[in-house]
Amino acid sequence: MSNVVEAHGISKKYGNFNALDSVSFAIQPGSIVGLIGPNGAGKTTALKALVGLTPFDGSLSVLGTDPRKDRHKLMERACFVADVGVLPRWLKVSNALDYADGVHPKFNRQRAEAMLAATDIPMHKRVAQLSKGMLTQLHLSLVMAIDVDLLVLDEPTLGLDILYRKSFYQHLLNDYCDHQTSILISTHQVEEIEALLTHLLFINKGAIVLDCAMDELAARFNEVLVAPTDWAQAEGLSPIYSRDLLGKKAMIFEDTPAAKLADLGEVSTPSVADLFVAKLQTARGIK
Amino acid sequence: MNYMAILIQREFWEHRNTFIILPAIVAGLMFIVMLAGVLYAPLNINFSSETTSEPNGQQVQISTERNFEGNWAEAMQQEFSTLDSEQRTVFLSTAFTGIDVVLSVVLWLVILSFLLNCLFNDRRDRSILFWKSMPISDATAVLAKLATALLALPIVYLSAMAALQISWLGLFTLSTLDAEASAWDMVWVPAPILSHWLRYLGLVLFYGLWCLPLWGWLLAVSANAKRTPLVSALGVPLCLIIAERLISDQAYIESWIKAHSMPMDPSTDIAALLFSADMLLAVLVGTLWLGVAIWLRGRADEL
Repeated sequence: MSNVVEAHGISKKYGNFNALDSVSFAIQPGSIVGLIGPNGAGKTTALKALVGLTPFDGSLSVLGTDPRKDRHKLMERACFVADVGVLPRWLKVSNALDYADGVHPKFNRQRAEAMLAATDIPMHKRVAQLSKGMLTQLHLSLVMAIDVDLLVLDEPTLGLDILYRKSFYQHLLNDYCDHQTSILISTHQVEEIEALLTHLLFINKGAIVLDCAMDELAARFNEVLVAPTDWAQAEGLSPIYSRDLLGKKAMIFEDTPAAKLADLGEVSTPSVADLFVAKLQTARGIK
Repeated sequence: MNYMAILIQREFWEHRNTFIILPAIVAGLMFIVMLAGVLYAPLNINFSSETTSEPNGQQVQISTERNFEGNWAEAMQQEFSTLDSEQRTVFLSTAFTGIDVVLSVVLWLVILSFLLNCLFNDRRDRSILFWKSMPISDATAVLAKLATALLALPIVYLSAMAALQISWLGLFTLSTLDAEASAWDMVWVPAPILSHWLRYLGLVLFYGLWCLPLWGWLLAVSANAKRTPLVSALGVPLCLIIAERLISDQAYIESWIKAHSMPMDPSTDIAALLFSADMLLAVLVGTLWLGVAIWLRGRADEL
């Protein structure tokens, strides 16, 4: 089966600022990809380019279409949720359902209504009258009632409390993980989605700094808690990152076999959050 | 799948105040004025005029004198008793047009404002990201806005005008119940009700095409403006007009822009213009601007 997304040399400039600098990556069907990067890294620009919401240079195929030319056809099979509320303030909740029902052939109104019924959102209220959490819930209810092949979520739970975030990711798991729907999700809260992901994409200053399947992570990256007596030996193996921890140093190694590291201490797979910090600091030339 | 109806409905959700409430209020106020005219405003008008014409070089003076008493309905009844059916139709047609004027001016301003701001507002409030995340092409989205302005909106305003015209005839009927002549024969039979409304719809379609360069231009500006679309919408044509005046002593561009940007003298024979080269040029220029608006909407991002 061909890739859901094929991106080659995607670039986007805002004036002199390189929001995306020749970014290339691919997404396979059914995968759940975490696009992780600091503020201003180019996450939103990349996601918007993917669904044809912003012009860009380079070659991009999403579900077999060029989003620049056939956005409307692509959006029959893909859904996008932006990072902050983009529903117009004057729109009533019931109108939002009417609209999605009217324009999207794959919108399941009963499903959206069932999801909204589980929230405190009244159907007659306008978007302007909803809290930030309700607004996100409404948008997600609309989008998750659409049966699509690709779901693109930009910081979907930003500003939501922990209860709703947990319930959202649970929902996402239950509703999509059985299907062939591919999900591309950007977030700051790496820990919350770590268990969900099949792939990782780290982005920094408009460039991809890591493109790795979760099940390759253990083979590529190792973390060792090194005692002071072994620091010199460990430094000789060129860790990509090191941090002080309880009088020792937690060091992360890339492409160094676990067997080589076993003498230095207990070898484990780094968490995505630690790996993220490690790769970013490597990209900035700091260890 | 036909998305046009829901896209037009979405515009009515957004612009309920100017699309529905405003014409209802204007029509309501006009009805109150009519009603007050019957109830509280008796007329006592002495009207005289002198017209001089010179057919065949011979000077002829025509004097008209009228003396109306009572309210407008009674005055109209007096006047109608002197007119034949054809003259009554002409009189009523003029009166209907008079009723149309106020709402038509409001409609014209609402259309201008809507087309100038619709695509700009979508970008300013970031909702463009929501609208564009739905499977609607840019061409369909832009044409839906045009159809809203040039078809749906005039139909709503025409409904208000029609209600007002019928109410006006109704008020006349009620206030002349005790008269000898029946109101039915006097006004309802000669009133050009349906033909007047159809003519109005014809005018709407005519201006939809004749002013297409204006409509397309406003949509293109709305899709492109970074701030205050009105400045670009007026600025560019003004610069063109000034440049033409500086470069040549002609005013082709100026007169063309003016002719296709505002309603014409009601006496203009629009049927003759319908299949003119000027109309063809207007449709071509308008289509070009619509194409630009669609292309810009495709590249549009949040502001």
